[in-house]
Formats: sequence, C-alpha cells, structure tokens
Amino acid sequence: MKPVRLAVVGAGAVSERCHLPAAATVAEVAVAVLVDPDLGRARRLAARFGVPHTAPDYRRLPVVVDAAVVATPPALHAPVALHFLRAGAGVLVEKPLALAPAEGEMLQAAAAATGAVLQPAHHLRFASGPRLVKRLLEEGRLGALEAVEGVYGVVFDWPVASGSHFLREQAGGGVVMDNGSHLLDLLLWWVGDAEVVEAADDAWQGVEAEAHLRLRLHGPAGAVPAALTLSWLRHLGRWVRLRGRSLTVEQDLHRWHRVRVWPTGWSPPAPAFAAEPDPVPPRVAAYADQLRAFARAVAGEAPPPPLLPDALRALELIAACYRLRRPLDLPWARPRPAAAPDGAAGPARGAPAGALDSRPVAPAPSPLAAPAG
Amino acid sequence: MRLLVTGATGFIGSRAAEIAAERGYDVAALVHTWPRAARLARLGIPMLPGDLTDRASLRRAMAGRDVVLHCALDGRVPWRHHRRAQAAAMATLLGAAAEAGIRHLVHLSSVAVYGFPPAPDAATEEGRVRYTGHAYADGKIDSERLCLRATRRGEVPATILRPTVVYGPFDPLWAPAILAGLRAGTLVLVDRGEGVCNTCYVDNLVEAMLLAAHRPECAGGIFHVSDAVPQTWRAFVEGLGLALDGYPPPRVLTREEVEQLRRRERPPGSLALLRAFLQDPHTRRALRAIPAVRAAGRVARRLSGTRRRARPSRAGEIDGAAPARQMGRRRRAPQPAPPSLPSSSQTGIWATRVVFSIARARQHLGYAPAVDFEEGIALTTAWARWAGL
Repeated sequence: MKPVRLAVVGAGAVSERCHLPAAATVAEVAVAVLVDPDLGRARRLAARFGVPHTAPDYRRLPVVVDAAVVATPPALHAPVALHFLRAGAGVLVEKPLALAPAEGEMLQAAAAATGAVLQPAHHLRFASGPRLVKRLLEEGRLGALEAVEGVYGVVFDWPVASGSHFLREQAGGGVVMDNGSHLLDLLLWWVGDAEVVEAADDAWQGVEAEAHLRLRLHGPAGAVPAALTLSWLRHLGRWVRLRGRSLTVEQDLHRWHRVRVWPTGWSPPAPAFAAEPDPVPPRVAAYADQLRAFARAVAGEAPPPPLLPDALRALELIAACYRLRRPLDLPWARPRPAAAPDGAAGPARGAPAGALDSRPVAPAPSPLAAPAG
Repeated sequence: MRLLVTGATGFIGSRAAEIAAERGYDVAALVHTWPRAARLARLGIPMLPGDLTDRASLRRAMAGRDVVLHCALDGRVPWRHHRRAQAAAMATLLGAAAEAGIRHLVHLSSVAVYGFPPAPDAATEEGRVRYTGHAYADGKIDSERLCLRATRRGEVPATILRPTVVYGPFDPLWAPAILAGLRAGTLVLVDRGEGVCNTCYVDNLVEAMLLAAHRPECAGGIFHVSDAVPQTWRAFVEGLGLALDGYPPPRVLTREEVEQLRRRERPPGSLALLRAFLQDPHTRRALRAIPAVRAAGRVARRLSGTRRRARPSRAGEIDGAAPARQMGRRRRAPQPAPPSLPSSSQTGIWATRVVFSIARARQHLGYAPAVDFEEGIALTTAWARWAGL
C-alpha cells in the first residue's frame, strides 16, 4: 500500500507526544506537513520527527495531502475537519469530535457528501486492555452487568501552552469534555447506549474542574447504573470497574494494557492476580494502531472503524451533562458572604447565576457500593 | 473597583480570585503557568497571560485595572537565586504598575522578614526586619523596600501585608507536609509543640487584602495578618491530624536536640565516604573476585583469629527468620522511620513564642478575622480528606 500523505494540524502536546511519534512507526502513513500558527514550534517538531513541510494555515498547504489529523484546540476541530472533508480528504479528529452535537452532525453530513473518511480519535479503542474488556463483555464472561463505576482524577498537568484549554468557548467545557470524553466513549463501546441521570460539577461561570455524573447504561441485559467521578484537582486514579453477576473487571486507564478480573463479591486481587494481556506496550502503540486503521480506511483497503456513532452520542451525553448540571457540594466551601467590604465593589457583572448560588448536591454514592445481586 | 490578582493559580491567589469573583468584583487573573489554571478556570474571570520577568506583559494585563493584589512568587527560580529574582520581579511589577496607572498595589509579604525565630520586638510591625541569608525571607525584605520606595516617590501607592502561617484548602505547604509526616511517624514536634503557631486561615488573609484594596489612604503601611487567636503548634498539628484515621504519636525534640541531630546529619567527609564504599555489598563482592584480595583477607582473618561469617543458604533466605537464626544471625526488630528533621528556619518558626499583633490591621483596615481556628481546621481537614492527602 502506498503511504497516505498526511497533514497533522496542530503542533500541541498531543501531536508531540502521541500522533507524531506514532506516525513515525507506521509504514502506511507519511506526514507531509505539520500545521500550526506558531511556526517556530511547528518547525522544531517537524525537524525532530522528519516532517518535510510546515505551514501556518491549514487552508493553504504547500503540498497535496490525502488526509489530516486534527489535533487543534477543540473549538477548531469542526472548522478544520470540515475544510478537509469538503476537499475530499479523510480526517482523524482528536476528542471531542466537536463542541456540540450539531457540529458533529455537520461533519457527518460533509463526510457522507464527499465520501471522505471521518474517524474520531479514541486511542483507547486500539489499546489491548479495553479490547480485552470488550471481548469479556461480548462473550458474557462477567455474567449480567450490574453496575459500573469510573474514576478519572489526576491533578491537571497536561503541558498546555495557552489558556484555550480552560475557556468554554475554546474547549467546549472542562473536565467532562476533556476526560469525560474518554470514559463515555469506552462505556458506549463496551455496554451500549447511555443516558444522563444526574450531573453535578464545581464550575461557577467558567469550566468545571470536578464533576460527578450518574448515568443509566442500556446494555443487552437491560439498564445498568453507572457513576463517574472526574477531577482535574485531585489524584483519584484512572480506572473503570464493571461489576457483572459473576465477575468484576477493572480497566486501568493509565496503563492501558492492565486489566484485573476477580469474582464479584471478592476483594479486588493483588497485582499478581492481574490479567495482563501483553507486556507493557510503548505509549504510542495504541496511537499507531489507530493511525494504521485510519490509513487503511483512507486508502480504501478497509472500512473505517465504526467509531462515529458513539462519538456523536458522546457529544449528546456531554451536552446533557451541561444541561442538567447542578452545583457540586464542595466540603470546604463556606457560605457566601453577604456583601463586599464598604459596599464599594458592587456586583460588576450582575448576580452570578452559577454554582455558588443554588442548592448544592452531594456526590453520588457509588453504584458498586450497593450489595451485589 | 477593577482588580488584578497575580499568582492567581497559586494557593492564596486562587482563593483571592474566587472570593473577589463571588463578591462581584470585576477581577482578572494574571496567569503564567497554564497547566496550573484548572482551579482558577472554574470562575470564568478573564485569565491574562503574563510573566513577572516581562514588563510589557504585565503592563498589558494591568491595562484598565485599578488595584493589583500581588500574590505571585516565581516558582521557576532556583532557591539560591530567589532573593534576587523576587526583587527583580517586584521592580518589574512596580514599573509596569506605574506605567499602567495602577492606583493601589496590595503586596503579600511575610512575617519571615523578622528572621527565624523572630525577635520579641516582632510582635508589632515596628519590629526590626533582618536579613538572615534565607533567600525567600531576604527577597521579601527587598520587595517590601521597593514597595515603600515606590509609594514614597508617588509612583505606585502600595500596602504591605505580612501574613503569618497561612493555611486552608489547597494549601501546598503546611497541611501536605504535616499530614505526610504524621502518617509516616516522622514528624518532629519541636519543644513539645508548645511554640506559638500564628495561624492565618486563607479566607481571613483574602479579607484583609480586599480591605486593604479599599483603603488607599493606608498605602505605605505595613500590617500583620493572622487569625484572631494564636494557637500552639501542637494544636495546629493535632487539628490537621483530624483528617487522618489515626497516626503514631509525633516525635518530640527540643530545639537543641534538633540542632544536634542535624549536625550529625552533615554531609559525610571523604574518610566516611571511603568506609561506606568499602562496606557496600557490591564493592565487597567485586573486591572478593580479585584473588589477591581474597588471599589477603584470609591472612588477615588468620592473624586476627576471626572467622568469615557464613552466608545463609538459599533455603535460609527463602524460608526467612528461622533458618537465619540457625545461622547465628540476629534479626533486627523493625526500626521506626527516622525523624524528618526540620530545617533551622523551620525550627525557628516552630519554637517561636512571638504573637504577631493584628491590632494595627484591626484599627486601620477594619480587619476582623471571620473564620476562627475551629472552622478553619474543619474546612481544611474536609478538603484534605477530599483530596486524599
């Protein structure tokens, strides 16, 4: 197969750490141009990864490309992807696919019109651990699914170079949009459909850094309660636990190859009991597999991985989280003081209508805490 | 009043921005290190890029602002350069503030300017500040002097606050260190914890900052800021300890004992390093591989009448205690973790008997700390449990 000529749009951290190193290991793609308005940074990365061209604007490329990896700030995902799709080039779009469900549908329509490949980037789908979990679920090894709990809590340390990651108009949201995208995509893939029952977060008028979500998943065996805790402010770990009637399985979302399985009702096993489907893969392996599948789809050698419906559904769920959101009860928050000192300040932006004004809700109890069966 | 908070991604600056936003101030935040902005980003206030070493960036951020709450400390600077870096940053900030027409600057200094431990005259703001070679504290003295000079010259009116032991949710210093030390059993209570801990709950400090922001007539003034009632260090440690389910009793050492132990901890001399090198099992194994060394060892043992210690068998190593005893080796009882010795400046803080008076802040700023120790500790421990500290 002739390598697919690729434009990587966005020279941020995810390109530097994931897409470019992965592309260097995949024979099916050749990165032809790296695009970023910060041309100095683009040139540095291009030199490091052997990319022949750089460009400041994705609309004016110095070379012809077959496809593009869109790794820009989320607000640009839809416009950039739309530009390439309309030109008939395939796109691999970083999560979230777009800021809103309507934007996602627009992309879907554009892809259908030109026949170009539109693939949402969800590297976890290509990692060995989540694939093993998918197989265990498909083969019914866990028994009927009873409850799901997911935690994605790490003190934010992604090396963002600007504030765009923290602005609603640029990022579409906070930790729900950012880390929630991963968890929701996995649950939709593993279990089936989902609906948001309750959502609480700590945003005031900005983006949330802590969120507690309660979902109802709809799998083949009926409805399953799920609770997700997402945080940018504390180290809680990164994992999803699925409790079936006979077995419970835990996917590590930091070391993607690591899956633990134990009989439901027992204590989680010591690490020695862990099921490790393969030796520790390099960080880029899942990204490389993702890129390979994308390249084959663009070359017409294989159908694109069926990720789009779940990515669109995830956008709807995220939008529902923001629609239903309630202020989260923060254990250290004091009641709001009545007025500014001297009364000299005065509310400058009208009465805030955010989290601190309405009744807080307590964090949802874990569905796994309920007795089995 | 349009506020700009520097250091707004840090512990005190974040809280200042939060409280100011909650109260309806038009507040913006200066941000240097974007990955730390997650907590700040909840507020939805303008986040302006800026760097304490870049005057133009500060001027841009200050455009249209009236008051600067200066909480920033450049964390990138190596410790030994801290004094110079702090002074340079303060000069840059004051220069930018003058150019941007800032009407008032509230500068966060520290009672560290009195040295460790502070002399008894530090009870009031009239106490003498002294350079101690402690880069942070010396930098605070320099910064205060720059502020006072800028006020005298009419460039930027600045008010200086000297907070005490600031604690509260998201405290990166006291709560994490004390809880980790308590849990590990390595915490040392200097002088039985009877030293005075001049606590200052972070919300009280922010209150004082906002009060100062409204008192331009207080520019050029220096104010202690702490809680209403001083505590002992034991009370502070035990209060924070409520965040834990239990912990071994902390070590109790006098200040002199800490000094003695620290002297013992001094870096080893070359002879001690050579001895440690020769006693290292890897070195010994390598040396024994040399026939001449082995022969010399045999001769030495014969002459001294000692026998080489028998090595335990493989089985002994695997089976553990019993075979090891058969081989004549004595097992050591598990030793408690060695105490984590406070530095000399920390010892000074822990052993102080000085109560920093807040009478001046009460009188001139109208400061009345609203959060008492019980509430402050309850909120801090609630946060610590939530954060999994």
